[in-house]
Amino acid sequence: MSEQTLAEREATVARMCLAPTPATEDLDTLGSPDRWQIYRRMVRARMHRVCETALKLSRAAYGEEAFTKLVDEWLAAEPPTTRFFRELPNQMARWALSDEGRLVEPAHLRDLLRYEDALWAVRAEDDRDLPEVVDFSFEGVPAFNPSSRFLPLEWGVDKRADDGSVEPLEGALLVYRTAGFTVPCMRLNPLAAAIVRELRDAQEAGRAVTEAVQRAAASEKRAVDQKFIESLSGLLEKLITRGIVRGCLK
Amino acid sequence: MTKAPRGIGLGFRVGMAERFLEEAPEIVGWVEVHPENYIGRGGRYRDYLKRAMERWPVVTHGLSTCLGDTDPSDAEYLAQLRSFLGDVGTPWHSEHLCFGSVGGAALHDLLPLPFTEEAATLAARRLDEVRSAVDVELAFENVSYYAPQPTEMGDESGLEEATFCAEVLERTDAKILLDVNNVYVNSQNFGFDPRAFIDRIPPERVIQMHVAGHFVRDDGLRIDTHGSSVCEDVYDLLDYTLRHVGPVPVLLERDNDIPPLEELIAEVERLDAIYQRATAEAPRAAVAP
Repeated sequence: MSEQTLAEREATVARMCLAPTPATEDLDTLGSPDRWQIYRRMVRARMHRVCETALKLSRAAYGEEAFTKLVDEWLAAEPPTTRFFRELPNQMARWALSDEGRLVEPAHLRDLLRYEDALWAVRAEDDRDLPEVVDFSFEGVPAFNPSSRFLPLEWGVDKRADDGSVEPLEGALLVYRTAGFTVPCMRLNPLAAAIVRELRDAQEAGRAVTEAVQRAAASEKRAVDQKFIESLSGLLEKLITRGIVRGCLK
Repeated sequence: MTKAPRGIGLGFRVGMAERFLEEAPEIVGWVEVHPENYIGRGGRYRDYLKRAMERWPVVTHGLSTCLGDTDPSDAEYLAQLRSFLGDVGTPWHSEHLCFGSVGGAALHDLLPLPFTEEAATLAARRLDEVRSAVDVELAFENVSYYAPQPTEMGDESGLEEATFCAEVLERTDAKILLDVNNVYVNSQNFGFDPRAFIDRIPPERVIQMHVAGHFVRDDGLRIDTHGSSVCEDVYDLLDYTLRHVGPVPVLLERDNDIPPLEELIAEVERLDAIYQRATAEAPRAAVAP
């Protein structure tokens, strides 16, 4: 019979599974070390696999060995807390991005990870039971579908050359889920990026579309002239027909 | 209205959902889903679930509310689970007799409990807690395990796990989801008679069964992978179990290396033939939750 309490035993198993190398003392305490190592491999393999699947572009850019080490470090430093298996890559990505000293090479790697993190999250984002909306109007407060992410990045990681290299990005990316459950990416030029950023902020702050547009024009030092209005109309049409903007809050 | 699952069901997995929903094979009597795959999630998964609910009775089987966790219960999740189970209209819900979360870390595996008084007491308490939180009939599933477990369930026949399961049943009014493949895998790995295990489980407490394929390593150890066809010995044990417990719904689980639908359906047909033959001669009526 074990001398450990149940809680102590479970903690020993968790440590044995998540440590970079299992402690001999823990394996001895549990008994049958070879058999317990099976659990360690199973637990870790599942977590590695889902991260590799969700973040495959980042893995390719960083290198398979370095990526494996990154996941190992995550498991040891800040193991997953979510019960939802699908959220593991998002937790791993958040942890990896939390330290500016990580993922410094190649230069676009951090943006690539942000992009893949967004793609993975948007695919599963819950867009049911949302507040009611009315038709879009300039006087209303915009309502975005939660299954979209605005990514103000420095690198155009959505378009990669055959050798994996990417160009700097002027503006931002917007990833969103379609009615057919695909997750495409829209490139936004600097003005469009400013408008989308201000519209999203407007939803948070309860500001009207008109004010958001004025703020965007000011931030980009643009006059609200005919050309601006045409650009704005084209962008809003895309946002609404693609379901990224649902309308305005009731 | 809750539709009663009968006969052979199939674990509903997104990997095979499109064709499965399109062809809706008659032989499949019901489907089982994991709530964790749907709670807080939109997109394709929810769409598939909605379509499955239109066609079959849906039964829920949890992955993360492990009944041997020593961490405090997650009241917020249990409220979400209750809501989901209500939406789906499941006649019962099941979780695993194991642990999977420690000190807030989610290990995403089904880790074995020692067969001790402390573990039985904890599991019985958790079963009661979860059952009152979700407000639906609750069952626990026996798991496969690969490392010998400390035991206080003195038993000379190697049936400590069966005694442990029976002990937990004794302490609660919960039901058991009897995983026949897990019983078989454990019997081969630890050298006990799987039929003696089945005999030790009170038949009236069995609400559902699982069968699946497993992997045999070079050293003979069997691992419950849900990644291959059901083996002959498990078919035989299912036949024996059905004669013991009566017409209890049986689910085919397949989570890895999912084959073409035809192969899965051929397995369901074979299970159905066993089910029909064994239950025609079984003494007990189906469990009504």
